[in-house]
Amino acid sequence: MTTRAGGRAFGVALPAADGSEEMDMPRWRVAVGSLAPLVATAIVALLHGRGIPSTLLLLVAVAFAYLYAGLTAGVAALVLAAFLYDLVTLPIRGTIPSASWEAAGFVTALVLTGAAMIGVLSRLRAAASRADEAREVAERRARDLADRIELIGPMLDAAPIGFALVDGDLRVQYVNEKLAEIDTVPVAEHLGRRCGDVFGLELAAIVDAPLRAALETGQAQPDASGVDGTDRDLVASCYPVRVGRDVIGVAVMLVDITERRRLGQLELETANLRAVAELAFKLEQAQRLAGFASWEFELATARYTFSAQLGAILGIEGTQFETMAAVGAYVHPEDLEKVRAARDALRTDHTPFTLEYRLVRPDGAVLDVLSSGEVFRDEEGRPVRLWGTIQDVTEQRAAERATRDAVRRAEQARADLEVEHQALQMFQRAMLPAELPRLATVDLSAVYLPMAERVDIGGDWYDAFVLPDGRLALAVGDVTGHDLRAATVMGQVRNAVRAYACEDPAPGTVLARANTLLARLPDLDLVTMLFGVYDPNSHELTWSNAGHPPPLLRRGDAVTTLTQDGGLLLGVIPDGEPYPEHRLRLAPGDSVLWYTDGIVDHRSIDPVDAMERLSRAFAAARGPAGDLLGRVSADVLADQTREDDVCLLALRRAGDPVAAAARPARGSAPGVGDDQPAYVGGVGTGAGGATRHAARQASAAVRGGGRPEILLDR
Amino acid sequence: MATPGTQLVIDELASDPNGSVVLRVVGELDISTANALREAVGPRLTPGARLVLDLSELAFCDSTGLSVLVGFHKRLVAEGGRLELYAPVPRVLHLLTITGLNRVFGIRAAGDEPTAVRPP
Repeated sequence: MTTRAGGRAFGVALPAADGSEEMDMPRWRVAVGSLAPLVATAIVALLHGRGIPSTLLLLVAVAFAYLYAGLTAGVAALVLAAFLYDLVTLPIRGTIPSASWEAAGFVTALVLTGAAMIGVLSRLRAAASRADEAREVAERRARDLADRIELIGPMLDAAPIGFALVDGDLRVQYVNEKLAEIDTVPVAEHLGRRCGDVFGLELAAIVDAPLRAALETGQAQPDASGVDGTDRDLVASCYPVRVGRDVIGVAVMLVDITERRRLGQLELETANLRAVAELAFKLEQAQRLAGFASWEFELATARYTFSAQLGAILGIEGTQFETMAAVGAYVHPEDLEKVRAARDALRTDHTPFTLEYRLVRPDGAVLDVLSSGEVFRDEEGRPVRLWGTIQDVTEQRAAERATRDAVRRAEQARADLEVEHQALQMFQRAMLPAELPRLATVDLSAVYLPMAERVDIGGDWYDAFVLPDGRLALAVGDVTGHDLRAATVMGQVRNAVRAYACEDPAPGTVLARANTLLARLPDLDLVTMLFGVYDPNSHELTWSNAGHPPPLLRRGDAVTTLTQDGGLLLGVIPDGEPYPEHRLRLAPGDSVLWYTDGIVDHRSIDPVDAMERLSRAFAAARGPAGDLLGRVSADVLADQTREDDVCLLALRRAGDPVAAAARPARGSAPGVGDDQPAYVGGVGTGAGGATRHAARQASAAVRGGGRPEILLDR
Repeated sequence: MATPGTQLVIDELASDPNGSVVLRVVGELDISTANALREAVGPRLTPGARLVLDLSELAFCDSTGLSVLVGFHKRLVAEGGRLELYAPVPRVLHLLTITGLNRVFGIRAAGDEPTAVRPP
């Protein structure tokens, strides 16, 4: 059998002996614990005779009651157990227990009863001591609050904001003068009374809720504002007053912000007024910048108002116009009538207008102004005033006129240029041979490739004619410059060369004479030129070079540059400049290509590279001279960087040896106008590429033997 | 065709009282810049003058440019003077060679100081 030495002996899980936790014990648990011995007795009654120790069961029930429901239930269960033991258990067992059992039970009951009495006494002592502590705490809080009031009271008495200190019972412990003034109740009448009784309705309405909230939650309640019905704005703030963690009261602050709010409104109005003034100023500025004035005509008063900018437009700053007549004095006399008409239509029929007219400034300057007028109506649609603008558009109009003039002049210049260009083209076309000579065994082709976009023309030309001795004379040249002068020089040289060649066709002699001619002209005209003579019987080509890019020879599939020494270009030194002659015997199928420097001379490509490109194109060509030129032309036209016109002339020894042998001999010197074609050529399939490019860019066509044609794109 | 953006700058590198002038021609010489060169050089073409044009930074020259140079040459030679071209770039030299003008002007290679004007 265990004896109880007190609840604490069972550890922290047990209810404490002082009963402080037992007070929280639910009543049903106390009831269940107290009645536990009934269950034990019932078990003994039902199972009697099986040797169940009834005393032990009852003690277990008592222990359960104590452990389950605390001291109260334990004592009650003990009393009940003693009663049941005596009343029920003993009769059931039907036997008087032995004296030793009886004694043990008695001692146990005695011990338990004693323990119960000790527990009850200790609880009573604990309750008394708690009451003492609570009283002390309350007194301390009151003292603390009083101390604080004593401390801060003198500072707050004359403060400009209302202040009150309320204790935990909502009794007013302090109010200052300002709060009393706001509350309209004297200071003394507040003290010691409950807030709800002493504060006026107005104050209570604002303060009550935050006051309670501060007290209950310990949280500050700032700025609970209220506006009362007497045009007064109040803001209340409530702050908990603490000692340690305990809230011992609430400080109430009350601020009358009526004046402040009024000041704020005044400031807002001032700011609005300032903004309006600024807007007016900016409008004035904007009008000045835009050369823009406005006017109004109030229908009710029949008065005009003109913005100050009108004076500025007229160059009489500071003049304030007040009548339409005063403004009308500055309207250009020729425009006066239409201005009046527009104004009258606006006034009588309310017809809006936009009108451009002239103003004459006092200094005589004439201004273009754009003026508008319209009717301003009220909400019901009745005309209230007439309103309009006057804008100085003189500069815009002047600029527009200047632009129109410039465009017209540019168009005129362009038209003039076009006429000149067409004249130049016609002239140049006339300088090129209308037909190339047709000689047996000579396959000759030439082409002129103009620049599509240029307005001037190149000074390039080619020529081919039959000499009195039956040989073929060939020329390709280029005159410095691209103007009409270059074209006329080209014509002079071309004709002079024809004349010289008829007298003495030796190329060196022809070029020397042309040089003398050019060098003696008063102006500096430089010409580069190839001149040669081809014997259709011996197939020998003799030529001289005056500063011109060297010819190319195509033999088999190989192309070589014929860079024999050339003479100086024509026109630099008057006399004595030698032009060496070179000879070349063409084998069957050999071709020679002459060209002008537009093909190799442009700034984006190195001339050496350009020469290589030309050689490759020439080498890649096949067929008769016309096809050769077609292939080379295609390459030239595909070159987007080309900057100048180009002349090409190809001479090919026609036919293969067998074909040449098969052809009947026609004498040693076929003459001009020989109508038998020496070859069947022209623009063959090989020139297809050239034709396509030509159609796109320069409309050049390659012809052999017949009419060489320049198809210019303009 | 001359492009509108073509630039030509002419700097005087040296001159002495005897009429020797060294000018550097920088840029491209074509129809759009030919006049600028004419105007800059014209006043220096005094009788007996030796004019050296430093062409080491002349990137391009066309036939119009050549005719300007020939014009200088003719005026100088007529009055006992001489035109020399210093260090033309390959493409300009190529043009001078083809036209035969390399045999008319004194052409001097780079490294042969343009200021060291030799007596005629």
